Amino acid sequence: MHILIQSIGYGLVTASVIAIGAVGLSLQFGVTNFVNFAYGEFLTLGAYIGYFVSTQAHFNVFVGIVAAMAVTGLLAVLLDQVVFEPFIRGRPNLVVLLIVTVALSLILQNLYQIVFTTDFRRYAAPSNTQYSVGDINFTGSQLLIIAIAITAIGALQILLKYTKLGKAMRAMSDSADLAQASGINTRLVTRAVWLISGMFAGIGGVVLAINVYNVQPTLGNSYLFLFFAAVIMGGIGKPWGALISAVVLGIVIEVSGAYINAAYKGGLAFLILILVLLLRPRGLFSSRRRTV
Amino acid sequence: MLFYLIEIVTLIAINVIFALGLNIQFGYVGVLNVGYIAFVAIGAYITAVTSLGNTENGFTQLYILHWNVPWPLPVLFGGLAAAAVGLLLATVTLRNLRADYLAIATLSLAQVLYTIVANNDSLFNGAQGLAGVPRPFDAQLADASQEVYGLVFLIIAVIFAAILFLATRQLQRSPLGRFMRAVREDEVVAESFGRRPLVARLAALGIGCFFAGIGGGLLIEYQTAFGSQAWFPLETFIIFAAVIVGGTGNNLGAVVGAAIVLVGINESTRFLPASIPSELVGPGRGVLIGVLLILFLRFRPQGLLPETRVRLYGRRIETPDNPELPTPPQTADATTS
Repeated sequence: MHILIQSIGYGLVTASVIAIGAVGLSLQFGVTNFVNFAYGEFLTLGAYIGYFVSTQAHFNVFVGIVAAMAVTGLLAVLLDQVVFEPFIRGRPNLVVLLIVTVALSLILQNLYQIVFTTDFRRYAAPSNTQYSVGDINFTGSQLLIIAIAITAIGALQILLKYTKLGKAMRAMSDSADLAQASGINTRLVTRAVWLISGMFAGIGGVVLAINVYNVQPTLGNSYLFLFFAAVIMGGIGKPWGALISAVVLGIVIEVSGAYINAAYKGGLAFLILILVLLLRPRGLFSSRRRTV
Repeated sequence: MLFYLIEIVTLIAINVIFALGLNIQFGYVGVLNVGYIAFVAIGAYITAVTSLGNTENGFTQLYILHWNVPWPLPVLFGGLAAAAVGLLLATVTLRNLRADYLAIATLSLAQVLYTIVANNDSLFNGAQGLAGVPRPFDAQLADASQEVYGLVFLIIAVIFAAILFLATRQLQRSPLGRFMRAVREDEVVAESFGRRPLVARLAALGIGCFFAGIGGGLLIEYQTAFGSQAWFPLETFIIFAAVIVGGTGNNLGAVVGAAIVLVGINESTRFLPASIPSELVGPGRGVLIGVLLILFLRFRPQGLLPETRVRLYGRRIETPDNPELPTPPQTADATTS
């Protein structure tokens, strides 16, 4: 019983990591309408920045996060401008855009191998103090991860709900054409979405590094399909759905990990993804009928 | 030199099979299988475990099945197994009508399979993979020199590639092939002729994965060994690069693309100056393939050999002025801004 409760606690930590990535991915997917297969690489870059700033240069963990957000946010905007924009101009083609993001993932991951080498960099945990919350033991770092996730996603929710930019994003997510027709500068909003999505990747990368204690070139990519699973479960373009799905996924993964071989944890997440696709193709929280 | 030539042509023949299969999926009907290499791996592993038997061929390794069926059945089993997994996955994901769902599902499948196979020794001997896989006609050619055996295998590989090439061409000209391209161009129009687009996609996915499995089977028989390193995601993009560079939707393009990309990228790095550290060669190759893919998609999406329209009533219909890559099954109004 104790193992169960403890693993639910770890599940919340894993869920926080997945949630940050999934929310960032879902936001961009919803607005631009194509999946970014290079998102895992965005996280990896964030993790490296966090490592260099916090572990190598001994700055506070939050300085590392801000630096990572700045770098990955700029990277995302830059890639949107330089790489995606020319493909979107004219008649956009979903399949082509997907391959472009996959190719970007390949390029970035290999660049990291060249620049940062394939060594495992040990990320120094910000806090190893033990805390007990009810029956569950957390380290300070793990509580920090949960707090960061709640803060980041809460802030995004406020942005989406109460600001003009957020409303424009939601409008574009519903229909880019209608949004443009009603006077929204869709170019600018798209750029803002890439910036925010990139910034979430920065936070997610650092948080991921804190959670697994190390950074290496395939770090983000190995979590990518968990983000996808959460995004699809939650329904595309619904950050809250992604958040709830991330909690479900995180708890299922960690609880099962306590009882079965750790190698099958990913398999279980995949099984959940397939079941969702089979039973609720539009996500667990879909309200409207599928539009064809 | 002769041996090198035999080796490279054999590898090209095997990669032509991969490219043809991917071209059916991506080129004909426009479904995106990002985990294509996983199906190659399934074919390779199944071929191995259905031909290794109990002998283990001098290696201590764990694996399932322990069959020992006569050649070429193992290769065929490999193809069928890959097709079965592909069809299963496609049935689940393709109902969603969106290209990205299948892409996500295939990517996830590849990643999950990779972790499970690498961490579970009892399936296919874990990350180390299987070795000592019997080669075709090994007993009859036991005394043959390396060159002679290489030549025999080259002929086998070329025969396989030729048969599959002719089959693909037959498919392209068949009603099913026309239907596939119709689905790619405009799903609604295709559907209005009374056939279900899902059928075209399933068929393309199944056939393409079968090709991947056959190619994987030949690959493991040629190398006699196959481990996790052989199916890194990077390998999928070598095949994608081959199809896109060669000309999406064009079978001859797949052949040309496989030859160019494989020889150009894989083999030219052999002659790099020694001053470049060897650990940079692999990643450098990855970057190069990625850049090549993006540049081609941007500036020459139709590839080196553009798809030509099939003859209708004895007349050849030329490719339109703006050859487009396969349009997605459903472009839910992508951002136009």
